[in-house]
Amino acid sequence: MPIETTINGTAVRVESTPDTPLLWVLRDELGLVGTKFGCGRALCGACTVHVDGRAVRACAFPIRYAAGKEIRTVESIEETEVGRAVVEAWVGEEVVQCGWCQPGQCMSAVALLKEKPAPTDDDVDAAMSGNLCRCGTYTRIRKAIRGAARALADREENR
Amino acid sequence: MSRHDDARREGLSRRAFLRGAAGSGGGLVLALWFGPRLVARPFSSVEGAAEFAPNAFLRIDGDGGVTLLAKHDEMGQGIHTGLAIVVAEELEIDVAAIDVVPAPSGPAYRHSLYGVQGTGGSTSTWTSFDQMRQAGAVARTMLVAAAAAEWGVDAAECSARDGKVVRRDGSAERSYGSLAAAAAARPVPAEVALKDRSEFRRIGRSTPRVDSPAKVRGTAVFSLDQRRPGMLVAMVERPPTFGGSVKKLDPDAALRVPGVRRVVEVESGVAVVADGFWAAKKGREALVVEWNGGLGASIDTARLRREYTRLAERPGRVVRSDGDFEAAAADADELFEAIYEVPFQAHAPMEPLSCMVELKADGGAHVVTGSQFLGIDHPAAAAALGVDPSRVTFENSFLGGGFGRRANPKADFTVEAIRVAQAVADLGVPVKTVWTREDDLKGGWYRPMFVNGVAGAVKDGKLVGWRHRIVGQSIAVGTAFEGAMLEDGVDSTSVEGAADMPHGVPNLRVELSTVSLAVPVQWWRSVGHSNTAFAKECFLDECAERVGKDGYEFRRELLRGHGRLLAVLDRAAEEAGWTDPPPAGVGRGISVHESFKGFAAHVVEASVEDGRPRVRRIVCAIDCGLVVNPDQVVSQMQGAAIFALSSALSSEITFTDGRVDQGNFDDFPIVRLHEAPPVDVHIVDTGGEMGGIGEVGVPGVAPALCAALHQVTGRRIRRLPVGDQLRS
Repeated sequence: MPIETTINGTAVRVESTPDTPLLWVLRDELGLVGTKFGCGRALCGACTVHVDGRAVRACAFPIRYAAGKEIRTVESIEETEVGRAVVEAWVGEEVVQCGWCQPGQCMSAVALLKEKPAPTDDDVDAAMSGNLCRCGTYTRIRKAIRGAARALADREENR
Repeated sequence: MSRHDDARREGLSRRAFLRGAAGSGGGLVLALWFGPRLVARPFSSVEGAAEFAPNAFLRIDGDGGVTLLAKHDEMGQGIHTGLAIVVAEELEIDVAAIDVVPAPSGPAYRHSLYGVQGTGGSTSTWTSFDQMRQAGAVARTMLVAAAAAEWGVDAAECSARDGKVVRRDGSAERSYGSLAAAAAARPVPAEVALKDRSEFRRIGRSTPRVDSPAKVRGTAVFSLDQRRPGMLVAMVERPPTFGGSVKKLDPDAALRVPGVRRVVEVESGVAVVADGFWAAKKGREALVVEWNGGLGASIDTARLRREYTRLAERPGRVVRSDGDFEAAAADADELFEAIYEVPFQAHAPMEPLSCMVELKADGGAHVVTGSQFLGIDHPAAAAALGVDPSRVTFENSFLGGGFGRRANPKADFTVEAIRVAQAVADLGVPVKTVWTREDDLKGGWYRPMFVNGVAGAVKDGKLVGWRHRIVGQSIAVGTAFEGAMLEDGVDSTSVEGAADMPHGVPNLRVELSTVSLAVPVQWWRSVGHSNTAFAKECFLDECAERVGKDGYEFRRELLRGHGRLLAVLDRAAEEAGWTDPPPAGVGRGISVHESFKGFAAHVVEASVEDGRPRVRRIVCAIDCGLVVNPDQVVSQMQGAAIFALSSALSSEITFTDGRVDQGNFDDFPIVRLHEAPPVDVHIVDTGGEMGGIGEVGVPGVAPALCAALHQVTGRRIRRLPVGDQLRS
């Protein structure tokens, strides 16, 4: 049975075996390689995408659960204001080193800021501790999230 | 923004999904074939003829596009940006206007010091600095000469600025692009004038990374992202013990997994070749393989520790001997010893390894991977194919972390991918061999395990004798580097950081016992220093305690005359507020170490909560000489501190009955955001020679951490990682 889902706003029909993780549907079948593979067991967060707005690890999310859901990947991150603010802050703070984990980091950060526009340090810890960075860019990730939150708040105020 | 960013954006805006008929076969869906170009940007091709190519590094097109072919691999250290800054300084163009692409494999891109193309040893910036300046200056000189000829004036009447040549009287200007064709016709000058350092406008200023936007948006292409039409994915089941081999293989169940095309035996194990990653993985899980154990079948960490420790208690090969340690020890008021241990350590780059091979009709191949070492991978691939290297082409990608793993002395992941492709050559399609995290952690090529026996002799309140015995495998033995790295049977990387200890101890002896073992080992960020600095700096703290001195003051005295070490030590102590007591319950430790021509000092503040260390703050001072991009030096030192903390606190590779105990980030834990302390970095410039950066920030973290933990608990941690040692 094909699985009908929506990816980055477009309806897609997937015929993969139902246990195929969403990650491999995205990467191998749809060519959306911005979502990265790091562990295969939801331990590192490199594959973070949004399913109905919530941060989900695509490597451990069987495609059958995607039926009828709204999936967003890093490829559409700049289609929302929060996403644009996160990308801008990440680039502005020079967070990136090797870059492999960063799309996943950004997707987690966007989900956090959509839910909590003014996150506390504990909120950031809780939302981001599932995203590993071997290069050790955490200090700057924290700074970029604060920066994005501030930029969004300023924009809100000026509206 | 470079012109390729525009192309990237265009690609993104054209991205659209169409609801459509189901695709055919193999679980392939869908809708529409998304060529990789539509979603992700491979590096722009450098094959095409550029209008102006003054040297192997620069291409200037008629439309003004400037491309830099980076001889060093970008694995996060910011070297693409660093090289671009240096070129831009002399070429007189904005760094952001340069499109940086990885150089192909070729003699022009050989490492200036090592002689083979590659990236490692924290050498890229200082070994390529003059070459890149030269490359930019040659291009600029030719562009200026072309403009001068056109205007019929002397070149001295023209100057270059922001991508243009201008007449000094202001009467005319020409863009580099418009001069490209004319410049190409000019002779390449044998000598060019380089700027004086006082004229630098870009070198030494923090400059945005050229790769950030693409990496954040997910459009940067890494090895694992590489795709080709018809490409198959292979996964190799390797023997569970090192040196093992296939005894019996039953491929039937694997072959029944939808999407699996082939199961083939290769040198390194059994390869499952499938339509995609998931089919390959499921196919591999369905394999039934019986293995011969091989040489590594009985390796056991507990036993290795005992054996290494026994060796550390006996004399080894003398690597350095100043004065007479034995006599000093016999005459000492106090002689004390300690055993310091570090485990096997995996690099664990976030992007697991992969390598795609497209076999060619002439017996050669096109290889697409993420390598730190094309200079080794290229000839190794050619040898595996049995062809002249000229028949093999290499295309490098962004590296999702390296830390040394992608500079394999035996080109392990490249040669394996060639073997897999050869085994299914009749399919006539490109094959990408991919590694899972488990493959990565269990697959060997670790930093070797080491045991250090250190002894100190104190007389009249002074440290008069020091003996450091090192026991471990050599990373050079059995590789192409054996000749270059071994001197009189001593692997210099086993003793670096110990044999060159600068401290003024009159009777100093360093010994090495090299162990032979079936575990494949290689360089891991900071190499031998990751072991020796731990033993040396920790034991110095033990010595300081014995003579009743503060760790900082004790080091200052021993390092008298070593200006650069003292400068970073003083700076770190000052910035950390060393003389003010730390908050209650918090310990503070300090270390200072030279490695890779760089000098770093660390102060670590830590407490212990529920028996677990909690690192509060790290202060670091670095002197690497002239700095090209200060913010990236800071970034490297921040990252190095966190990388070092993972191995100091929690990660290790151990063996039970020949098998690696760890498999993923649950049992090989690395530092997570909530555990990561702030890292304050201070750049010190003493006017010394340029040196390394990337690895220099690693060695000093563990010893400073252990000193901090000692201050709060009174206990010496002498074995890494700290793990649960403070719980009992």
